[in-house]
Amino acid sequence: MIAALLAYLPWLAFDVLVEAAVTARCVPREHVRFCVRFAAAAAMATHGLATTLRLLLPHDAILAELGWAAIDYVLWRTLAGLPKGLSLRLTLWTNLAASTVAMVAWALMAQ
Amino acid sequence: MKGLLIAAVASLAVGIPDMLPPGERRVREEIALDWSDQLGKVRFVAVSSVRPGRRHEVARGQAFERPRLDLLRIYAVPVDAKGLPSETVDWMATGWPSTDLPGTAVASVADASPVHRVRTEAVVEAVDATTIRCRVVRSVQFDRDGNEVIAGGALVPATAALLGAVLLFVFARRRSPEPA
Repeated sequence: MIAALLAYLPWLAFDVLVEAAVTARCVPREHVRFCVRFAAAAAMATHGLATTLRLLLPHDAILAELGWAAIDYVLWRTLAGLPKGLSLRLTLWTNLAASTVAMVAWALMAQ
Repeated sequence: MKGLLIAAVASLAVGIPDMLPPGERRVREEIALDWSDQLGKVRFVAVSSVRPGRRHEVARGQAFERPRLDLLRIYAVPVDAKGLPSETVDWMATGWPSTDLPGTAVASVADASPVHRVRTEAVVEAVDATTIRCRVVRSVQFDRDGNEVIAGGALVPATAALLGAVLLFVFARRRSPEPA
């Protein structure tokens, strides 16, 4: 359990930080506080969910990635109540940034 | 639109089987094949589809590795057959019954997964004129020490997901006025 925790938490923390940082850049200044907190919680929820699914269904990496982004969009639209354009922009940029930075970090670690 | 295209390309990249997405690692995959004596006088040979001459005599009930970058095909070879072919095309020309490896390949697992090895256990049900019929009996997962993995490895990320979901609802309830 400890090993699983140590292997998983850095990826989670990484994703939460990247998504919160990108969100802070994308939303109007007066809503930064709410949106950043919401983004961090959303990242935690979706990352946790996607990883749980990956552990239970080890074949569906691509499905988890796409499902992850879809859930993000739904959360921004419904729970946070953001407009369509902003929700889509946040979904794309946060996921793209998180995936890109994670890939670079992973590639560096694999060296 | 540009962001959408970049996201689509990035998503496709992680979908390619030989590329591991971040936070993923490979597992060793094994196949164990069992059969009854009633099948007749045949032995089973796993033959590489991409590396000529590479073959593996399948021992009953003993696991052998499912290669990552190769496709093995199992042939039912008559026990009295002499001189096995060395080229893949020659194997195909023999007309001996054959089949693909049973079960589905596990591309990778999450880094947090305790799984290090997956063994698929299958049984040969029948050998027809052209094909071998196999049935997957079960798939067993093992950890680094060779112990069978019991469900529960998903507890850590599931807890994170639950905590995130609770926070989401708390933040949504305290939501600031609608953004412009």
